[in-house]
Amino acid sequence: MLDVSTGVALAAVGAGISMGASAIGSGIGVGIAGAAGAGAIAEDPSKFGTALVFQALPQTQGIYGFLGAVLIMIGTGILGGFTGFEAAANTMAGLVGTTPENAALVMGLAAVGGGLSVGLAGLSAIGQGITAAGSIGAVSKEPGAFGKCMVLTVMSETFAVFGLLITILILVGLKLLGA
Amino acid sequence: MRRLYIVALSKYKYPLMKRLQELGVVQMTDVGRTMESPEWAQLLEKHPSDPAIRQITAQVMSFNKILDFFDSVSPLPEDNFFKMLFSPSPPKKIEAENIYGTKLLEKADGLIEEVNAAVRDPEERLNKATSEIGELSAKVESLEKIRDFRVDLADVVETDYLTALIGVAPKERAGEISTKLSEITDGVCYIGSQDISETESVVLVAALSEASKEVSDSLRRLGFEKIDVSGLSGTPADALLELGGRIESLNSDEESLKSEITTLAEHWRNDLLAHRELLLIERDRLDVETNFMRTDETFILEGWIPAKSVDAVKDEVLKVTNGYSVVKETNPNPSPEDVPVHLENPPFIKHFQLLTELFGRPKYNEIDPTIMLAPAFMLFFGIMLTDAVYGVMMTVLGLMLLRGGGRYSSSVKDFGVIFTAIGCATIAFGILTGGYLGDFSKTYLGITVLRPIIFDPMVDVQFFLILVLVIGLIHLNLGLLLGFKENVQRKEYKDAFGDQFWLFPLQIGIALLAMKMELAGALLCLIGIVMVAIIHGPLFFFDITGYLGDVLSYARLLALGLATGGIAMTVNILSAMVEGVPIIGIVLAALVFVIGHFFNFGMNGLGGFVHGIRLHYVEFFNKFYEGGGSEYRPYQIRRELTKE
Repeated sequence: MLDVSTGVALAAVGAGISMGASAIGSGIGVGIAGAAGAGAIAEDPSKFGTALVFQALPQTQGIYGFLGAVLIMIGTGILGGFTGFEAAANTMAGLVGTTPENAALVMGLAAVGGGLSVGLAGLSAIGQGITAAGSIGAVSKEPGAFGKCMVLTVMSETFAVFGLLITILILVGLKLLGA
Repeated sequence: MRRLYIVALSKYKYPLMKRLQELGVVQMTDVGRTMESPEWAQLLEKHPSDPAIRQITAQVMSFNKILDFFDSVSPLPEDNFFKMLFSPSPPKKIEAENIYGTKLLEKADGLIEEVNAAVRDPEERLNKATSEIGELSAKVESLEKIRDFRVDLADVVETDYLTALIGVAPKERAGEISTKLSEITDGVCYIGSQDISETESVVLVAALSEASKEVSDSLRRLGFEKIDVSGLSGTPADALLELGGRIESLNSDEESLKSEITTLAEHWRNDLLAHRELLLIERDRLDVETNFMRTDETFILEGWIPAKSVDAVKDEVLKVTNGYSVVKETNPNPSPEDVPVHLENPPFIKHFQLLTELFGRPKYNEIDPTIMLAPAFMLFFGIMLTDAVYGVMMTVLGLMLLRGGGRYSSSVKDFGVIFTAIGCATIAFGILTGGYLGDFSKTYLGITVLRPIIFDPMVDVQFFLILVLVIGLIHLNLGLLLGFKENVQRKEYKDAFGDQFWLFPLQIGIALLAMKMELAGALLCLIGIVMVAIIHGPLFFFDITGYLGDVLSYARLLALGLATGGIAMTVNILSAMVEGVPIIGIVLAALVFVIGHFFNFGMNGLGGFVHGIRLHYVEFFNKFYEGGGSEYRPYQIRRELTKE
């Protein structure tokens, strides 16, 4: 039998995937870039600044995942605990004209979908980390290539941006946010 | 740019080169490359390099050697990174008399001799003191090990009959040494040992000199390390005391020598730096001749010159050579590969050239996109940061750069102007959308005046999405129009229609379809698709999806804009949550608030900058811009330190 608590559980899962999966991506990406950075610094310690900038780029996906998780928690009301979610489900039920149980289920599934979008898109940070690692090497040898390498590295992030965008559109489209 | 040729009498060469260097507008090129035909080769020969260049190079090396020595003894203070950016010390300027040619070379020689004479003696004494300190310190280090061994070191000597050695050996070998040596010398030896640590023993050996070779060989094999105690007397502890005293006196010698050299450095350094710069300028002046060709009495040079400077240079050349010269200028040939490019933009816009050049300097005859890049980049950054307070922070950062490093460094100034400009754009967009540290002013301070003026990004997400996509379409179509114009001008009609024009009927067609004018819309769409299909063949499908991708790419403006607001909101929520902690709650809340917002400003500022550049490089430039022009580097005086 479905009740409101199923919705809460799903919403929590959604927020968890959002942060967790993108943290895996960012963590691995930053790690790959950092290893290359350490190599560059071993040869020339003055390359620390360059290495740090490139290493920071794959962190963005983790931030998007964090943002996605917080937006899901705000949208579904679970930031305010079980009662917060219940209140949000009641409002939603009034808004679309259904039972609170149904509304809770919709909210929970929307949260899972949104979390999957930004969370899995966050794995693009691994690819970005690989490009960043190459860029650190390139810029260490040829400082003039900084701008171009920056652009190459940002390419992977496009998909993370789209992932976040879809999460936001799901939350807005299903009236969890902005209504 | 115009191509410039000058032919003049050789006797005017030096004054002419000097004048052209002062004018600093001609970029010299190698005449030899353009005059390769055999006819020219009969008439002209390559201009030899001036023998004085070698002399100057040697002088510059001597100057460097002395200056390096001065720097190693009394280093000049240098600004660290932050000081350099925000409050740099004014660059050093040295008065220098205006001398050149042989006079300069003679003066430089005299200066080198004079300084060397003054520096040589203290330098030698300093080197001696330093190496002596090194030796004594090494001795002290080894003596420290045998400090407690009671022996008069004056007795540890080698004479004709007796050889005494002292040293350190592994503890477990001490017994072995004793038996082995007795064996070699038939018992005619003395061995004393004492443990000095967990692993090592000090060993004293005395044996007849006639057996000293075998003794020292077997000692070495058993891990014995000899300690050199020649010239020392008393117990090791006494010797250490004495050595300590000697090192101290040498140290004070070294200090006084250093201060002596510092005085010398202060006296000579400016003179040396100024003359080194004058010598380098002189070398540039002579080096440029290797680009020329010559006959017995004349020489010819070739170079690039900006069109507006032509008349002034012509007048000057005729004046310097008393009219014994020919100056000719022509247009560069129509499809030039190596014409240098000199960019000119209005005062504010020119600071954004930095961003264009990061991608690639425009080629000759190519449009300079900087004037379009500047406003669009400001707009994009404003949308992506979307917060008035962050905008103020960005502006303050820009102004600090301008007031600090921007006074002396042109690239810091460029960044200062760019940061200030994009900061102002962010303030404007933040006010329009009601972002002040996220929802801080609205939710926590309850200031209703600061509500969004046009829309609230967190509420009207759909409107925001349509807005950024429309901005993207306008931006892309601007690029397409420019590309179309360029291609038509270059008479590359196939590219003009296949790369750019087909999108115009397609886009209008889609707009008409959306407005329910099905027939006209479908017709226009079809025209566009057929056009690209004919020109690009079966792969035209990817042109369509590619353009769709370009348009959707501008959605990043929305995502990053919302990310700034969303993370700011999260920071606010977090600091409100920790405020509930008893006693230290308010401090914690303030800490989370300040650090959180600085972090958000840093990460999203970087994101906004990088993605703003990316939208230009990848989506916008792609439509019309190639870049890859070479820089205009005029032959000029490179003056950094000296004043005229």
